[in-house]
Amino acid sequence: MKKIIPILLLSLPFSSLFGQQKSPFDSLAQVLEKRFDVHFYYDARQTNGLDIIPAAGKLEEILSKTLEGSGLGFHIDTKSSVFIFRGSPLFTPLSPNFFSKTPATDNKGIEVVQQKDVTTSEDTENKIYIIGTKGGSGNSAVISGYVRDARNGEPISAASVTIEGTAAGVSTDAFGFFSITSPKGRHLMKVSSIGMKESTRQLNVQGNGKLDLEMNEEIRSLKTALIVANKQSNVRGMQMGVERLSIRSIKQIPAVLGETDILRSLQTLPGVTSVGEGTAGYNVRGGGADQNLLLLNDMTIYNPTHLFGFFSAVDPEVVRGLELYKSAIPERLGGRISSIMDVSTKDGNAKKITATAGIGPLTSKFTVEGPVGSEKTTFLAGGRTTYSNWFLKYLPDATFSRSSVNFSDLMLHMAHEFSDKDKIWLSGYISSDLFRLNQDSTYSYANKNFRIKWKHNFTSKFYQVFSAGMDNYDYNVKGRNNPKDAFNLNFGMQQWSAKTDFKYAPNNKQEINFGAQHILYNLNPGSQLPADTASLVSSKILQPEKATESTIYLGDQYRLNNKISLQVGIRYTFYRTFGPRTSYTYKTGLPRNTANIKGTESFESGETIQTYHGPEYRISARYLLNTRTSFKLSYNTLRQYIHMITNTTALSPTDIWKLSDQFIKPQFGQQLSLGFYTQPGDKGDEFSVEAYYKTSNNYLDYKSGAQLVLNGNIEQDVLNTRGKAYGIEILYKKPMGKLNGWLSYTFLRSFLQVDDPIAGEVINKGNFYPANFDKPHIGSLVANYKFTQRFSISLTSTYSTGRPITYPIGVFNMGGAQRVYYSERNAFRIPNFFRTDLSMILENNHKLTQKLHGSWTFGIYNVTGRDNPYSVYFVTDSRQIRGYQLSIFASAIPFVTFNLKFR
Amino acid sequence: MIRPVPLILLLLLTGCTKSFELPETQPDNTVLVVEGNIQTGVSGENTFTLSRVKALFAFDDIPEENALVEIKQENGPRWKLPHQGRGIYKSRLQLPTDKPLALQITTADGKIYETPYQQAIKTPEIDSITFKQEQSGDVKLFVHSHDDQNKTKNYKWTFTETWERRAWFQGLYEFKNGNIVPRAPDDQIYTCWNTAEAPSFIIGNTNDLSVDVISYQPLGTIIRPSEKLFIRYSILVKQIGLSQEAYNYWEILKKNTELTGTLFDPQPSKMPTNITCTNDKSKEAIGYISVGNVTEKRIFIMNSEVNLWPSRNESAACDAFEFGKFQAERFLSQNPIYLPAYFITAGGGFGVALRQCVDCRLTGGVNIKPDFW
Repeated sequence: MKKIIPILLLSLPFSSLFGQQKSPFDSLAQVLEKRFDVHFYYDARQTNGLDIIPAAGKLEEILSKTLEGSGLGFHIDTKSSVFIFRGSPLFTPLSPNFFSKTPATDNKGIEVVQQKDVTTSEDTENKIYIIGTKGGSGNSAVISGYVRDARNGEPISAASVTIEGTAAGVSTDAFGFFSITSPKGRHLMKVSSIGMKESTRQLNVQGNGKLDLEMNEEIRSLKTALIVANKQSNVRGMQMGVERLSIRSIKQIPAVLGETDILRSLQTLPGVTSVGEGTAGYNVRGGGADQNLLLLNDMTIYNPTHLFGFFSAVDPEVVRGLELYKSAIPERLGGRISSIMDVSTKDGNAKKITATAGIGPLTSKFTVEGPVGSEKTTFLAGGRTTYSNWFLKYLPDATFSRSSVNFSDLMLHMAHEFSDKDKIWLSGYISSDLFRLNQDSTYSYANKNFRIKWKHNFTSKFYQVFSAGMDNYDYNVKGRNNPKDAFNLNFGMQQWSAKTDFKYAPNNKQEINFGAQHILYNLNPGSQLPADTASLVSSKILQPEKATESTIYLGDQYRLNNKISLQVGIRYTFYRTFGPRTSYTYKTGLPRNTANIKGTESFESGETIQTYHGPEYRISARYLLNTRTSFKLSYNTLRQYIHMITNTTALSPTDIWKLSDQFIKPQFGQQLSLGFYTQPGDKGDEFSVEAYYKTSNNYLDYKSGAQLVLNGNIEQDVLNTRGKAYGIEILYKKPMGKLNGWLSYTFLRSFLQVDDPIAGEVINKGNFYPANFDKPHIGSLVANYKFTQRFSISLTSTYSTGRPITYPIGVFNMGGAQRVYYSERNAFRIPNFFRTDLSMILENNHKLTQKLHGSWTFGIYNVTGRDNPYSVYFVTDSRQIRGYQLSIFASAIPFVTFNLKFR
Repeated sequence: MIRPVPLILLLLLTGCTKSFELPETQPDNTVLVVEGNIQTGVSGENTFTLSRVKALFAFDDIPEENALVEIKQENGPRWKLPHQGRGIYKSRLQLPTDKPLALQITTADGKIYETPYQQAIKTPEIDSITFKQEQSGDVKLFVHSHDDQNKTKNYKWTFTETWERRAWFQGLYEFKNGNIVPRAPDDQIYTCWNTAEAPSFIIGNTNDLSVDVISYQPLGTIIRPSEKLFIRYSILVKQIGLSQEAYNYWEILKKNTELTGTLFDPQPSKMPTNITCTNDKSKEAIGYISVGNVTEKRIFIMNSEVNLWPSRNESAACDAFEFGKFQAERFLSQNPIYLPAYFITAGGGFGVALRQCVDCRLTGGVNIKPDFW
């Protein structure tokens, strides 16, 4: 099958542009030459887009009418020669606005093009595109459209679109959509995105119009690694504290056991840490692990991991890229106070059906994508499953060899374009895990999500995205140790949500976002039932929790002048939890415990138990020192109504969630950050420094001995924690060249404080103490070196201060053995962490026509074999205290994977 | 009993543990440690052990001497527990079961530590202690109990094991003043009784059950071929009912030192205590004093009740040298680490063996039969 040549969609049907026929202006010139006995000199490339309107009268009148608004002028000299040129007027007083801007191309003064018949090449870049129709009012026009990848029709987000010679510059959004205001006339539009060939378009802007572009991959870009899609965005963009990773750069990061992992790759970025290797949670800028929201195509994934956190549950093959908002979170997003990660999947190849398959030591995966019927409808399906049971058999401990592991995930995504104005997407995601320990206990958990999204363009300046869906997470434990104790334990949560986002960009100076969101939470906090009649376990079903969270937001991004831009956003959330529920009331001013119960109160179905509401402010400012350097400042406040109930250092899949109620207050966070961004050299290198200060309130900690599972009165066991964190992130990125990658240093402190005397318990005498994720110094290096187009080497190296830990500082005898007396919470640290990973990617040839493409990845995880301690613990062994350190990946682990791509 | 967090070491192929050098730390030896219960009921033995937290790996305990330890009844009498040395204060008391009781300690430096008044918990009797031999041959022991009133819910057990063991040779003779003479029957050294306290305590609760029934609560395992079951074994289990707070204390104590080393370990928790220093708030104490009666039960297991259990350790077999009586006496006087082992009926000489092959006391235990045996 021959590839269909992409046809650019223009708003006006100037089909003659595409051929080599005479342009209308050529005909006009011929007519006029005859009629007035003059000779025309012009560049056909400049005139072939001119619209010929019927005109009569003098030559000057005809020409000025014809050329009006085109940016072209004319001069008739004494020798009856007519020169058509671009530039300022010589005689005819046109509107001064047309030429007040610098000329669209680098013409020096008035340059008269003498050639008469210059053939325009077929290449779209040598054509002139007429945008809009003549005659509209005003001197500027809005051009909007989509930027897509020419190979598969995937939208390219964060590509920069500029009009040369003007200050106009915008970035495409997640849909690849842009809207830019340009002065009328002839201009050169440039579109760039790293890894893609820069694309230019000559425009003749006459009015508002549309222009879709396709970009080609820069073939030599194999030498470069994709790190951040947009060369310019960090310096010029409004956003700060945003990290973008494309799937290509994620895949270059060596992964444990060769399993490319989107969550783990995040930890190479400044500001993102985890309490240890192999844990599910991540911490952003010293925030708690439950303060991060993970969105996969707008679906909330509550547990994005497999195998108790060893692998992330999103198949990297379906992912296009991810964005992590660490500080200036846009007002359209919210719900968590630390960070929001937005993972988007590919839309599916619009041109042809392709498939990929990957074989690794633990999992196999398969994706298939392509158009359905026409280019208008595309699909993408990706799945992954494990066969990791085999290695359990080789573990020395008999407990493991009698255990079994199963996990899988499946992603389905469809897109359909009804028209230029309407497009819908459908996404579905399922992940499931099952772990049977020693044949008597089974742990299973699953995510189930679906979402439908509809985008409607009202005008080129104004569009709406509406989406709705359901997110579900549940886990189940079946205990069969002892027939009398046999039980089934369940936890589940479900949320239904709908949101609508509007974006209005009246001109280049302003972009207005507004919208609304509504979430209905339905939470089953836990139930325990006897497995059968022989079991003595009592049935215990906690009361369900129900709540709604409604949000409206409005944000305005405004460019004051060429140097200063402001973004002001406000988000107002209204949270309401409602019955049916029966709960205790407590005596005021006393610790909430069984002794201080005053009575009970009952709420009927739908009756409001408690409401919380308040504004969240999202404010940022950018000051452009020069084209290469900028400063940014942002201030954010955030609210979070859902809390994770856990008291383990690492997250566990059986952690439960809890909604805010009359006792558990919403978490509240604020962050002030300041950034400096610059681009030294002209190879796209970036250097940035960001500093921040954050505070948080109402983060949950637990009283000693708190029972967290199946506790219907958790308010008796929680402690409200106050947090503060500050840090500096320094990043140097080299996105292009044979050697590329990034180097970062992070200084991060994070402290917590529990000093509520009413809670009846304080930690460390009520003083601030370092949080588990307080890691003052972190250095990270990611480097790729492309030897040839088919062979490259990647290296990542991370150093960090050991995490805080509570050590025993004394011993005493009790209960027949020596016991440890612990220090104050987190008074010590485990040894520092250092790890280097290496991988080699070997691809076979790059012939575009070849049907099957294979690639091998070889690598070594933890090359130096350093046994980084995951934790240090102490046990009473034969009545003596002994210290042990637990390491997870304590030796160099080689891996190999094979990937196959069908085109 | 029901633990939803998987306590597993998912270490895959490469995870490992190794010993870890603890950093030098400063001990906080101002922390007072109190162990004991206020034991109510008929002739309850009340014992309290007082000590101070010592530095990690410090060799010597720091007993708290010369304190005044008293049990007091609300608006009622006080009972003083005499100091026995080594930080032990004890007395056999008959305390009321229906009156709130508290403990008060006045240390030698004048600090007063008190617990709140608590009602005694009525601990139910132990229903039974059973054992079961696993396929591996090991013997598992279980305790069973129940509270008809569904009130106890939280239980703690400790146990004492006693077993009979024998020397390799039955030494019916002794070497006395240079002569081999028959040993007096009340001075036998062939059979000994070894006693061992449980290495830790066991706790369990019935909060998740519809009835207050403890069934098949594991106590421990006797690994085959332990000498405990060579002849006869006995276990005495003591049960005490706990309040929820007291249970939390013992559970945290256990978790903080015994159940660590998994990926999902909880943070070490601060241990709750019901002992406060009333005249110096900066002074901490460790311990949780419960009030209640203790119930106990003892069972015996004979070697014949378990399958394929040896009656002695053949790999520790002893050799003997055989001599005529005169040579034997000369050998024994020159080699005091030997004892007469047996009389050679055919020929009249004596077998002579190392002391530990003849005297069971040298390998553990006492040669006096316990009262309950």
